[in-house]
Amino acid sequence: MSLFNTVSKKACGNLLRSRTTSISNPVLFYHPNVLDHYENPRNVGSLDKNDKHVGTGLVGAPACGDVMKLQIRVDENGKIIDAKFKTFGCGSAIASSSLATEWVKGKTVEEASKLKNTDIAKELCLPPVKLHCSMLAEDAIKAALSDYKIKQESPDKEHDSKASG
Amino acid sequence: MLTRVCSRLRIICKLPESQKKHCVYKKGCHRALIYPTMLLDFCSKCAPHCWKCGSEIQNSTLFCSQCTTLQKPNEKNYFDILGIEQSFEVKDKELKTKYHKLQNVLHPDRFNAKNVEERDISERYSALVNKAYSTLLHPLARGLYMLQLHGVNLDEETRQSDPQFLAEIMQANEELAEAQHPEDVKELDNANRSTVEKLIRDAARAFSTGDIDAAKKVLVKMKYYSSIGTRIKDMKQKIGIE
Repeated sequence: MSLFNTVSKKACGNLLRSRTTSISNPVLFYHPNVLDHYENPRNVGSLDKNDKHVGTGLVGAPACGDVMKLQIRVDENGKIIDAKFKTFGCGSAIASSSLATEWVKGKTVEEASKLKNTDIAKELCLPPVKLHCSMLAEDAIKAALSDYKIKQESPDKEHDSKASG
Repeated sequence: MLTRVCSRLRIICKLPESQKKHCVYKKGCHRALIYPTMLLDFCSKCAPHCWKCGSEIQNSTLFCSQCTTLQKPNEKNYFDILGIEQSFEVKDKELKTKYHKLQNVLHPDRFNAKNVEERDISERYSALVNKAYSTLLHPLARGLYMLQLHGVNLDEETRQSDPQFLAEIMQANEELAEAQHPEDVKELDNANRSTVEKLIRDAARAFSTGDIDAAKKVLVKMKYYSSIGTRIKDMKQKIGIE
């Protein structure tokens, strides 16, 4: 059985080769919704991670070596006014995080925490082998929200600017 | 259908009743029918017999000593298939020699004059040997395969929770994305290579002491750095440097 597993997994891996955000070659096998985000990723960039109003989520997938950073800026009313991401991984991972930043913008912290990977996977029509990319995006949102909450709860005096980043 | 498939296998295994359920030679084995690949996973407890003439195969040779027919691959894992010791520290030269020797006799081109069944076995066997060779040749693939042999599969792990390590990987990726000059890319390439080499040494140490948990941690790191390595390669191609 182990032989069979290795062969099939390797075959899938070769079909969907990893790419970075910086390369814009059209990639076969991807759904148009993925390609759209892959070719024109929304909200690429960084926010100041030391800003008290910014939550940073940094996650990685050991199985494919992808790494994803997702940041949110929250206003006084608990509304997410900005979101940025940087993902180094396959097209599906880039598209998942790009879509995630689009979706969390304008939502409250509470609403954003309800976002599910299945919604992302559905919107992008991800095949089963790429579901973990959408899970990574969900993890990234959760991590960013949790980072933001920790910052709010801790009496942080060193940095409190809304303008930076 | 079941009986037909099994009779084609010429089931002649003589196992005690208690062990019979583990043997793929057993008549009416469902697994053999559902997963054709399972046929590669033959029972190790019973001496193999030639699928064509039924004679016992001694010392797991490739060909039957009686009718000179190529036998189906019956080894358990890639190390056995290539006939090398199961260790992370594979000697490239030994691996290459064994591989070439095997392909020399197994290649489908050598079976053009043989019957369809034997040609089919040579194709499957040859493909399996290729797969085994490419897996064992590359340290990361070899390590991941060895983890699999220990029942550890990284594909089931969806998250990585060491923030400091992730920040390090993120930074390395960002540096590469922002690299402007070929020299910068070369420098990053060298740094990445030496990191991977260090991790290969760490993995060898972990596997040799049987510390699978430590080996797993090292291989996860190696996977991230190898992804960066792939990106560096793409980048080098793009800017046209060696």
